[in-house]
Amino acid sequence: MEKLYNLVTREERCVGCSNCVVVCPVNAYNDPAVASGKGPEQLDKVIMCVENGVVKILNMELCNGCGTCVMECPFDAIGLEV
Amino acid sequence: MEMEFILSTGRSIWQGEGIEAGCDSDLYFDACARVEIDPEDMEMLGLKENDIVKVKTKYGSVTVYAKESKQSPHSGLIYIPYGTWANVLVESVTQSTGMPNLKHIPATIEKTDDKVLGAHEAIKYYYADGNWEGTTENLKSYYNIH
Amino acid sequence: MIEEKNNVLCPFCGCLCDDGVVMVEDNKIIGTRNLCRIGHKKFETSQHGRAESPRIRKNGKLVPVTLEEAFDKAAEILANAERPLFYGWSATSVEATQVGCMLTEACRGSIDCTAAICHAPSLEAVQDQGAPLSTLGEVMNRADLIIYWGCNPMHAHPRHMSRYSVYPRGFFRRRGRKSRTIMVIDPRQTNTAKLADLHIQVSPASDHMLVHTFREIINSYDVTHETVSGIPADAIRETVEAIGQHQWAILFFGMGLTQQMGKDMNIDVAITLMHELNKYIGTKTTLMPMRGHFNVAGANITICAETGHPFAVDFSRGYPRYLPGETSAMDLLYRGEIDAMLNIGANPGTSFSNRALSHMAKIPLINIEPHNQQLLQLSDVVFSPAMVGIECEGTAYRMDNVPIKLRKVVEPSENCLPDVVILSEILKRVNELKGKGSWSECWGVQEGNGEVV
Repeated sequence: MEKLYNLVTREERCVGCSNCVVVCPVNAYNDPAVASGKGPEQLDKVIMCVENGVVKILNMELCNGCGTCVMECPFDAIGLEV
Repeated sequence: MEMEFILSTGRSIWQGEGIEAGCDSDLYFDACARVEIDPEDMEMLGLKENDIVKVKTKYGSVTVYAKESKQSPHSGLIYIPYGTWANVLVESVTQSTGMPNLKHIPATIEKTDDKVLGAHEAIKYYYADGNWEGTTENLKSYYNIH
Repeated sequence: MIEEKNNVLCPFCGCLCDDGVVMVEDNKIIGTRNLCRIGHKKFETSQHGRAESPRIRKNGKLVPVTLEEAFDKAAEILANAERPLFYGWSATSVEATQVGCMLTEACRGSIDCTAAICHAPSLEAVQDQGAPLSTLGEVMNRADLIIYWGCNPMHAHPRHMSRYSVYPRGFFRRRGRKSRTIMVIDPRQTNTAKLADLHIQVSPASDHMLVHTFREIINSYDVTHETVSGIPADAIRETVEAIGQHQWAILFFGMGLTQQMGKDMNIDVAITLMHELNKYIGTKTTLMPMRGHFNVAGANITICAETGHPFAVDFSRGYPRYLPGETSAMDLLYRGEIDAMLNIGANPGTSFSNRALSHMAKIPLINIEPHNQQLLQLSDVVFSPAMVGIECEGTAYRMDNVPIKLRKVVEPSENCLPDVVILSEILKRVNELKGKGSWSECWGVQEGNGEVV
């Protein structure tokens, strides 16, 4: 099924704080390490992780478009595009 | 016209990145040789982004770029990230605590045509070659409440 | 072949994140994962622009010399100085700081760490009032009110909120962010304040009055003025009531309280506020200073364990003396009392104020730092060490005083020795020059691969 939305990242604004990675409900459900604040250990089950200091989308198909990551990013470095 | 502001110095993420990239890098220069001013205050002073200004306090003066602050509103407060440029303007006296006064110092801003110096030049010009006994007022340290 | 090293500690800020992954190929770092922008930058640039050998200033220019010549020159400067200063110790290991204390004692100098321009007022206030402390793990599991006062973790400790305090799901706070309240007190609307539930925008330089007003309300007096520090009295009353409705609160504070006028008195009254919240209101409160460097807590703990005082220790009379304001680095420098200085694991060129740096330009300065900082313009002997956490091992203490051992990721280049070895060599030569015999043997410091026996 084709998704109506897409996650976009603006790497020049991202500071690598991992707020989006940890607060994402899909990440927290799939990977217990992320639920407790650490970096992801199962990279095929998380939507995004922080690589080279900035956010990187890994598995877009897991995203349900809730927008929690967009709300918790204070630098506007991640967004949902419809 | 010189308006009086309160100057604060502190950390910013771009300054942290600049320090790790090396103090001779462009990242450090862009992140630290700047004064962040509230957008309404900038309009009142008639400044545009990247204008060169001279920030002056009782303890010294330095030439930096004026930038619009992204962490506003904070009318009346100007912010310079930690670095060789910010520390020209601060008070060295510690009031017997060991800590100099690095925040909330009265300052003025005016537009200027001087050049903004790089980190290695700034440390020699403003600190090593400067005559500090001549340019700062006499220390009336313990009762000097501003 | 790309090798992924897991559980690498990041040697930048007081968070000391221990879940970093560093990708190494042929002894070169090519990428990282899970580390923030600043941590990544530190690993990425750690192998660029490093000097191949030590340098000494001859005829106004820095020229490369052998290790032996540099050690001899450094020891000569320190042994002949009447009042040397040993500064820094925050970006190096605890083992190196131990040798540093021995070196200070041998030279009868003063030792101070970067807490002098960071959290020295907090330590002084703790000496007066005590401090209810906790670890970051307890914050994650128990805290439901987080107060950030005068600090901006989004800029200074980027992963603090996501790794330890706000977003993780704890044992008693299973809904993560939704089970906590965030309060930020700052004169600017910082990026941290944008994520907060309540942002109190105090007017600059008046936080002391606000803390006293909180205390007034808790002690059953009422607020006497209509606005305090730019905040209306009603808002203050509601805030105190809101604080009282939480179970476990923590106050994270930073330079906003320690660097403005009032300095240690601001922290003093904040600690008293914590004691009163614990005693009268029933909200369990603790506090934690947001330490800036990855091992400044370790430097304080080591200097205290070796000498009895946490910073600003002076050996000029043969025994350790502690008098902030007399023996701290900034005061010694701006009064012009110092005649030689050794800088290690710190960057005073970017953090010292005007009069201190102008005095440093007049005295011989020994600089042990890996990159080309602007302090090179004032240095006379420059060593390039192996970076702790990247090229050699060491122990560091996190901001909540938990010790963690840093690992080695790549091999250092040939002339880059660990800090422990550089300092031990200088100590050996200083002892010879002062005719004391080999103290390093009786203390058990083993030269060579940098491990302390």
